[in-house]
This record gives sequence, structure tokens and C-alpha cells, in this order.
Amino acid sequence: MVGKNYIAGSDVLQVLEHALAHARGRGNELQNSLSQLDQVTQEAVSRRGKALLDLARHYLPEMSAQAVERTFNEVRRDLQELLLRQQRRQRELQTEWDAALDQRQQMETQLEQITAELNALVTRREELQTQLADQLLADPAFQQLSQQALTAEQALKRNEGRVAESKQEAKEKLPAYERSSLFQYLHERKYGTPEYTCRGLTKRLDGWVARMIDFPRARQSYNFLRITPELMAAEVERRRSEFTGLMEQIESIEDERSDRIGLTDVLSQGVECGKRRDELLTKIQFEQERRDRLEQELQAIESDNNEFYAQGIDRLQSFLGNMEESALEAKTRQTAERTDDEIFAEITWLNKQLQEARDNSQQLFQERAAWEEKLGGLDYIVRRFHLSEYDSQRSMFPASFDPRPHVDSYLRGEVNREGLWQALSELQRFAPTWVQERYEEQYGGRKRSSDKNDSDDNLFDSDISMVLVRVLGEIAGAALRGAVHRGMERRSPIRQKNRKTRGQPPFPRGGSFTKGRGF
Amino acid sequence: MSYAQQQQPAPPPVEIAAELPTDSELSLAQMSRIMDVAVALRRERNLAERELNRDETRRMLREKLREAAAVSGGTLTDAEIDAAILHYYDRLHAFAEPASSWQTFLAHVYIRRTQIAVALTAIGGAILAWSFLSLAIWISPMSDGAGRLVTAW
Repeated sequence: MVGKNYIAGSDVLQVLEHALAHARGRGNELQNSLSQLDQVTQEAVSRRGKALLDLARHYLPEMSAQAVERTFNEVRRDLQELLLRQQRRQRELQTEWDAALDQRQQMETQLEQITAELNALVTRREELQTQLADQLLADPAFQQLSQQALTAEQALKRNEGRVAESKQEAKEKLPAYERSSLFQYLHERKYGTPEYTCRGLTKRLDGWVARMIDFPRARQSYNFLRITPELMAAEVERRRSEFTGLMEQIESIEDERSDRIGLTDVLSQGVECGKRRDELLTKIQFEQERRDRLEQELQAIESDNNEFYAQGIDRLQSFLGNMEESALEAKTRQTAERTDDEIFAEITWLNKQLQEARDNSQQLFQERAAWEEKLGGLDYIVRRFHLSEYDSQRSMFPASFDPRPHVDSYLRGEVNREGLWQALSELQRFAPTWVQERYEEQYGGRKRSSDKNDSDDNLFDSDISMVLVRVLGEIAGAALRGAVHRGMERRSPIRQKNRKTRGQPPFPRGGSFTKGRGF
Repeated sequence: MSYAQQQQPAPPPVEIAAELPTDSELSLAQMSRIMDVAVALRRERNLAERELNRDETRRMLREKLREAAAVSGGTLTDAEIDAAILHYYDRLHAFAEPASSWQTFLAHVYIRRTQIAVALTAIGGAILAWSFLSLAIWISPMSDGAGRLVTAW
């Protein structure tokens, strides 16, 4: 369906998915580095603690050294417990996150299947609709009925305009009659009608008043203004019924042939499949939101700013408060022994190691957060791509368009996700359906239905039979084209209701199986 | 009457339906009434059709005006003819009260004669009542001062 001058939307999606995988891979690498650094830090902390304890043992009397060791062991136990709790929570979140990822992968596989199914149904629908249109055009009875219906619609439109004019005229002219006391006097007395009963002088004087305002003509005009708009409306209603009768015959022929060639079945399947796709996309969106929440929580746990870290700091501070490093340092300098100097040198070296590890960790953490953001942005673009149905087989981009530089530019942070989306959506087009192709054939290049800014007579906003609208359009020619659209719009609600009653699939908006335009 | 019947063309008019004979024979009077209704319906429908086809009427009017102008030796442009037709339709069915004059004044007095008579009677009655009251006060020996006051007034 996509011509050689275009690249398919699914190819662009592949580029996006590749970039997404790359970003995910980079995020994982950074995560591994962070984990390694974490291990190094833990070891260093453990060694430093041991060194501090050795130093304490060296200086403090036997009893005090035992007390310190006992306290240190308690602290270590507490910290280990805290660490275990943190790791447990981290594991829980990670498991949940992995489950969400699995769930999403499953749903994405389902989405691929449904998309493929929909693409096949769209192809079938296009074939059958073309077939149906050809059959209808070749049917002389259908042609005759169509001509009659369209002519009736055009007259109906004109008549409705006249009724409105007539009502407006009455609205403007009647108040003069109602304000005139002379006219109202004679009118109330039913002057000039068989019901008028006055005799003698009164009759003569009434006649004098009637001549003064030309009452017979005025009464005629008054009655005309009061009654004619309603009479005209009733006549238009009758003509509308005639038009409805003709359209029902036309629709019945269309339905019967549609059933016979299997188009009705394809429409049913397509509508059902489209509904499933829309539902699945909503679920994917929901899952993504859940994953985002989990990711945020995981990041918070991994960062320095979490409840476990705060508790650990408190515990250590209370311990170290009794055993200041600086105090120990001062003590080592006072003594001539070499052992304490070695221990203190180790502590200093470990502190340096820890500081370096902390700096590296900070840097890696920031880098990973930046990649997570990019990953989230790409995820958003891919989801929006699906939601906008750019992955349908009718979706296309110009052959000259290369999405990679745009994606790279996004990954380098030169454009944000909205900028990337804009770059994609500006160039994306849907290949015309057979209806639009015929339209272009019929009306030349005046209107290009695949152009984004072209409303195509609100074609995509109507829930009408695309086959009928185009076939009638071809029968009508340019002169009656307006009648086709008006006629279809008049019939649309009633026909949809009738189809629902009969268990037939509805005509979706713009003839699409889904909420969007891609299928 | 007949308009209401046209709104619901399926059932026969109520008053006629009630009088329809059970046998197949229709009296001349009944036949005549049915015919009247049918004619009225037809007339109304013709009127509606004529009004719905006002564009056609305008076209014919335009042709006739053009022919009349040609016969009388004058020339009328299409714009002049259209303006004349527009003016004609604007004034058609429009009502204007006659210009104010003694005749119209008298006509207004005439059509309000009942209200005027009622008002005059009320005023006359009030005057009469006042006079009786004044007289009663005047002749009353107990209220000379008040009687004089009323007379003076």
C-alpha cells in the first residue's frame, strides 16, 4: 500500500525501538557499574569499621575495648539489618518492575499480533469496498434510485431554506397586524366571515373601518403569514419522507450486496479487532504508568535520599559520637608506637577510597538518571506512535526522511521528546484509502485527502458508509455533490440505529476500525 | 381546520369519521363535506407548493417584467428588475396603519366605544353621587359650616 516514494511507519518504529533498546542497554550498564561500586563501598566501609575497632582496642583498656567491640557489633548488626531491609524492598520493587516489564512485553506482542490482524482486515476491507462500489455503480436500478434521492435531497434543502425564509417573513410582518387596534377589532369580530353577526349601523360603521385599513386584503395577508409557514413545513416533511423512502431502498441494496460479498463480516471483525487494539493500548498505558511509579521508587531507594540511609546515618552517628576519629588520630600522634600509625594510615586510605567511590557513584547515578529520562522519553514516543496508529501499514513518511539523526539528536539531549515527536508527526501521512483515491481521480488534484490540513469535507468526522458516499458522489457529479454529503448526514443517525437493531456492525467514524485514522 | 388534518393525513378528520355511515352508502351531504375537506387540503398543498417554488415565481415575474418593458418600448436592466421584485416581495403581506387623520381618530373612538361609554358612565355616576352628597350636606341643619365649605369649593 505504501508507495516506493515513502518509507513505512513500521520502519520508523523499528528505528525508535532500536534506540529504545540501546538506551535501555546503556541504563543497565550504568546500573551494573553502580552495583559494583556499591560493593566496593561496602567492603571499604566494613574494613574501615574494623580498622577503627582495632585502633580502639589498641588504646582503650581491656574492659572498655570489650565494650566498644560489643557496641560495634551491635551497630554492625543494626546496619546489616537496615541493609537487608533495603535490599529486600529493592528486590520486591525489582520483581514487581520485572513483572510489569514482562506484562508489557506480552502486551506488546499482542499489540503486534492485533496490528497485523487489523492490517490484513484493512486490506480485505479495501478490496471488498472497491468490489461493492463497482457492483453498485453497475446496477441501473441503484443508479436510478440514487439520482432520484439526490435530486429529492437538493429540492429538500432548497425547500427547507424557503420554509426558514417564510418563518422569518412572518416573524417580521405579523407584529404590525398584532399591534393594530383597528385590525384586531375587526379580526376579533370575525368581520368578513360567515361568523360575523352584527347588523344595522354597527355593520355599516365596521365596514367603514374595514375600508379604511383595506381589511379583506389585510386579513388574507395575516392568515397567509400565520398559516403558510406551517403548511410549507408540513409539505417539506412529506417530501422528507419521500427522500427517506428512496434512501432506505438505496441502503437496503447496499446492505444486501455487502452481506453477499462478505464485507459486513469483515466490518464486524474489523470493528471488534479495532476495539481490542484500543483497549490494549489503554492497558499498555496503564502498565507504563505503574512501571514509572516503580522506577521512581527504585531510584529513590538507590539514591542517598531514602529512609534506610537516613536511619543508618543516625545509628552510625550515635556510635561514632563516642569514638571520634579525630580524637583517635590525636592519640596516635602522641604515642611513639608504629602499630597505631599503620592502622590510622589504613583508615585514611579507606576514607579516601570511600570518597572517590562516593564521587564516582554520584556521577554514575546522575548519568543513569539522564539515561532513564531519555528512556522514558523514547518510551513515550513509541507509545504515542502506537496510539496515533503510525505503525499501521497505511502510515508512511517521505523517502527522504531519516529518523536516526532526529533520534540521535534526542539522545544527545539537543531536542526534547516533544521536539522529536513534532519532527515525526510533521512528516507522517496516511496513504489514501480507496475512497480517497477515487475522490482524487474524480476531482483531480484539487483536493488531496492524505494532506493533513485537508478536511476532505469532514469525511473523517462522519460515521457514514464510505462506499455509499463515494458511489453516490460518482453518480451525482459535481452539481449534486453537496446533496450527497447532506443526504448521508441526514440519514446517518437513523441508519446507525437501524444497523444496531439488526445486529450489523456500525459505520465507524471516517470508516476506520479504530479511534484513529490508521486502520 | 384543514391544516390540522394535513398534519396527520392518515386518519380521516375526526368530525367526519364520527359521521361515517356503517354501510357503503354515503349521503350527498356527507359526500359534499368530504369533498370540501379534500378541496381544502388540495388548496393548502397547492399554496405550500407555490410558496416553496417562490424562486420559480420570481423567475416568471422577471420574464413578464422584461416582456412588459419591451412592449412599452422601455429598457430595464436585470438589476432594476431584481430590485423591483425584491421591493414587491418586501411589501407583500406587510401591514401599515393608515396615516393619522380625523377619520382615523374617529375610527379609534368608534372601536373603543364600549370602553368610552363605560368610562363616561362611571364619571357621570361619580358626579351625580357628588352632587347628591353636596345637596344633602347643604340642606342639613347640623352642618352649616361644612355645607358652606362644600358650596364655596
